Amino acid sequence: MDIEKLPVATVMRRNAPTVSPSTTLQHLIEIMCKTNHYMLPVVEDDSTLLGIVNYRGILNIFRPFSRSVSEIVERMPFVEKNDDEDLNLELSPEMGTLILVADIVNTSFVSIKEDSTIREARRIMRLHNVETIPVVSDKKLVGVLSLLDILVYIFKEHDILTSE
Amino acid sequence: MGAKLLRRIHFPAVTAYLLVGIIIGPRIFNLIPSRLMAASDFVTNFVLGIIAFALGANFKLKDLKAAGKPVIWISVLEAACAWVVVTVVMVVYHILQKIPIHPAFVLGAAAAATAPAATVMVVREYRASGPVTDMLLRVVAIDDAWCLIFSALAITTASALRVGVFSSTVLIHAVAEVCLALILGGSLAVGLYVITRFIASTDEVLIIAVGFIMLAVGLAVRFKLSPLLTNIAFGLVVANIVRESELFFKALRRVDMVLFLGFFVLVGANLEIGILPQVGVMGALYIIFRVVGKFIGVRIGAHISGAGANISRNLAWGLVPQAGVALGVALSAKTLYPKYGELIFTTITATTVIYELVGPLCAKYGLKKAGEI
Repeated sequence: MDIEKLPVATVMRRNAPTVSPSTTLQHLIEIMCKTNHYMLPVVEDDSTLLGIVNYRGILNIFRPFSRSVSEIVERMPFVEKNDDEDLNLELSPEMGTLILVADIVNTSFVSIKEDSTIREARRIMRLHNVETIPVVSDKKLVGVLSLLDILVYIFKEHDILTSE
Repeated sequence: MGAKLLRRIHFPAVTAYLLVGIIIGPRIFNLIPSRLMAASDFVTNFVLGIIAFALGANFKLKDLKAAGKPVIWISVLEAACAWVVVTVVMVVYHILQKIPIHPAFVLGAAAAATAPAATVMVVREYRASGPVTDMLLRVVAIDDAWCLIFSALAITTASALRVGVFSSTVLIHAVAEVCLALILGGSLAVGLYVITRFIASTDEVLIIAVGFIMLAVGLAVRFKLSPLLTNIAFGLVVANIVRESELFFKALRRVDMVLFLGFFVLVGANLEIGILPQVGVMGALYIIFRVVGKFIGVRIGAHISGAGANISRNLAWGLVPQAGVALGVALSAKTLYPKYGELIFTTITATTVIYELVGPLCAKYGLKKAGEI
């Protein structure tokens, strides 16, 4: 079977960890450390996908501009790229509970439909330079597909890994 | 290397590149081959094409709705007032000096531009934050687009005046030219939309983006339309219809600094140092009345949109810097009007150096006065 023609739904993980917009920064980092997932889908109670959050989003709290302004600055001609986060920013313990996922969520993310092919998923991953993408059906999150999931599937197909 | 060195002693990047261009240009060391100098027209159109395409992205309907009325009103009016005030002053000056008035229109249009890089540099350096900073960054992000639109209109008007007949036919012709440029840009965006689904790598994204911009410039020049308007329309439609449009804008951002560097060096090399003394009065008028226009525009824009007293009083200080887009318009004028274009070009280049040195100080003063530094 040509894996590239398989639907994403066959290969994706269905039980990936998620967070909600009201998850605190402290809890988010705990989830990332515990699960080793550095890209988490942000969903509402009914599983509607709102965006994604990753460690790059967390870095935004160290940047001088708000996220919307940062996006504008990134597009300006003649402006030199400057990842000017200041890691010496004064942080207080309260920020762990005051900063919420809603403050750092990336809403201009890429996603893929569950009936799309693995070929299309790989194309999107390469184009956007990402290794994990949320899988949706009717705007609701149904799973997550990563490059590792694709590799694991191939290895299982060739008996390099055993299926559980 | 030279630019890096000059920047170490806090010289603005644009001024540093211009100086390098002047030094290696034909007036001093003559290190640039004449064939490259002769290609200035193509380089200008191509670099301005990239800028115009990128500026078109700021007209994403979703973002514009989110930004709200004040950004639109203030950016349009500060750019338009600078354009109108400088044009009127320059027309009067040209009449008094008994020289043709058509270059005055292009000079006025260049006055609409600002320098986002200088403003961002000040905001970053002093970690300014607050409503005035926020509004300032949003305004400088889109006012260069207005400048390019005004320039296209000014060039059409100037060409009509140059011919000496300004009848209704000329006006209809000018409107048709604008519409055709928009249609051409829109059509290319549809073409890009169709091709997007076949793109499989980031390298292809860059090749296709550059190829389409060159095609837009080439077709516009071939059909005697404005390459600026064509590329703004192209970028605008791409941003609004292509789902993965950000890929194209990001890909261009990866290479644009190299192109801009080459562009500024070429601008410096094109500068006729010999006629600098001639631009004295004209340059002084341009410097003063461009700023006057900006202040008037911000006041009116803030009043109409209810942006508040702090923005109304202090935002215009951040709009004083002038750089790349104005230089691009000036270089276009130089190649369009060989006789008087030289004067426009030298005036804009000389004033850009002054604005680049004084502008950041003005921006800092305004943000400090606004209580955001």
